[in-house]
Amino acid sequence: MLNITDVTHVYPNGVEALQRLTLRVVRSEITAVVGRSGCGKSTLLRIAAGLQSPQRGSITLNDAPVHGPTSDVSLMFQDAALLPWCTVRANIALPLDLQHRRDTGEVDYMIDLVGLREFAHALPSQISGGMAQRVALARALVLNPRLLLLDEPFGALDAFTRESLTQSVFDICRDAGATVMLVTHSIAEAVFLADRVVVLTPRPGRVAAEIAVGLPLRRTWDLQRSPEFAAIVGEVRDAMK
Amino acid sequence: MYVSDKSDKIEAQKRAGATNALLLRAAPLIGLVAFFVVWHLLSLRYPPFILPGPLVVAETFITRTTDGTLPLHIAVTAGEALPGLLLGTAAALLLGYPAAHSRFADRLISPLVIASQGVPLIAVAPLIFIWFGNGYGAKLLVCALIVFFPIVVNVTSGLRSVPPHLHDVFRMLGASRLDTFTRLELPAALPFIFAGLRTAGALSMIGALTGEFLSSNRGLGFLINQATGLYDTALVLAAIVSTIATALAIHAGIRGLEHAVVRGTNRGALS
Ligand SMILES: Nc1ncnc2c1ncn2[C@@H]1O[C@H](COP(=O)(O)OP(=O)(O)OP(=O)(O)O)[C@@H](O)[C@H]1O
Ligand SMILES: [Mg+2]
Repeated sequence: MLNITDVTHVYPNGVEALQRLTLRVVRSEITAVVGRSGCGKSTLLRIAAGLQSPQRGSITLNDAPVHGPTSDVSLMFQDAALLPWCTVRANIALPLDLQHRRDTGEVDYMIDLVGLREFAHALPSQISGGMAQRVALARALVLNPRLLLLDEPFGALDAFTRESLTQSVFDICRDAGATVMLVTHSIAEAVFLADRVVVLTPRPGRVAAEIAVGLPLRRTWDLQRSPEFAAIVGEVRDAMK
Repeated sequence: MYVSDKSDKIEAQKRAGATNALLLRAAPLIGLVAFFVVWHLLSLRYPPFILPGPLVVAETFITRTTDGTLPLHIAVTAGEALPGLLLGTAAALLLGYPAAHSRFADRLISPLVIASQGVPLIAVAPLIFIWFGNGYGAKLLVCALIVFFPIVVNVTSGLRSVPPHLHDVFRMLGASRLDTFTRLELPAALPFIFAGLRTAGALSMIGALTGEFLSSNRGLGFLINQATGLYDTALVLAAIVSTIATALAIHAGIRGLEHAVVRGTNRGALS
């Protein structure tokens, strides 16, 4: 579905973020990208979203070259990037608003999904960092995008919220057959969520390894205790060294 | 012993804090009272046509308000200042938007904008009257010219204050230029624009007065001019007080508008 071929990206200040990176995101699969901090993961997502064009290489979405952002692709930013003067609800409704679509209950559904019903009318300054991330996640999901790009969606959450939200995102994406590329710092999360885990090298980012996760399609966190799970986590760990 | 000692200290601190808070509250009042007392004492040493005391000025203010003189001239001056303020704001928005979005436009406009701050209004206003006649429109132009600078500077920095990530969100969602302006840039710039407007509000009164000084038969500027000629110093001071009061009222009006608008946007105009 998404093909990133031989992409090199150098920032104007001379920092080489990505080097000859080739990566394929398969339709209806969840691909997790892991790597050290600063290895170019966010850059990769921005390029995939069409927000940035690389110096070299090509990106195609469903065989059409990507030249700029499209409404089929949704990107959740690493920092929540909410509108400070809009309520939680208005922030989640923003994508529908900007595309002049009517809200047919999606917004309320998303608010419940991320567990923010009580805070629907709060402003971003009145909620915690983890809640803000959940708002950003809801905003990314509300349009039902064909390709969902998530930049550390669960970074600022406590362990329990993180587990339950990971589980619900996993279920939604599976149910909708969504295609997802997800950046995370947590190897366990990558293995739990993904069909494939892509390990990037430290800067400049290249693909160090691509590991297929042969776990069942339906997963719950109990899986974490299984030896198969531990084996894959070990494999990813080794690739990151 | 130690414990009670400590709680005594806390009590003392609390009392000191309360006194401080009271002083802080009373400070503006103390300043004003001191000003009037000094003024009154000084006025005792001079004849009233040189320096009338605060009581004489207050009396003049009240009689000239009840006989309708001051309200009429205030209305005339405010009737020039406010539309002038609006005109200057419109011009500032029109020039600030391209300046915030294109480096070329910014470099094209900014020397002129900076120069506009250095314009000696008192010298240029007569030229404006020569070019545009000495009617109402010329007075608006003088007001607009003086308010333009603080607003355009604030409009530009306000529009530039939008964090790049929020622009990315709007780009990702395929937002139109108009939507990006009304839903992202304008709300982000509003606090800046209002800060500019608050400065500009008082300036617009100065602009209006300058115009009236040069050519008019109505307005606070005219009244001050006329009363000065007649050595009616009390009326001059009463007119100055009226000017200050009007400027403060404009300031308060802008504050009120700001609160209403900010509350409006905060309520999520989008939902
Ligand atoms: N706008 C920019 N201008 C210049 N350099 C940048 C810019 N954005 C990122 N970089 C550099 O590119 C490299 C990759 O950045 P990127 O944000 O993609 O890393 P990351 O893998 O997402 O890191 P993290 O895990 O900490 O979020 C970093 O070294 C960073 O300093
Ligand atoms: Mg990042």
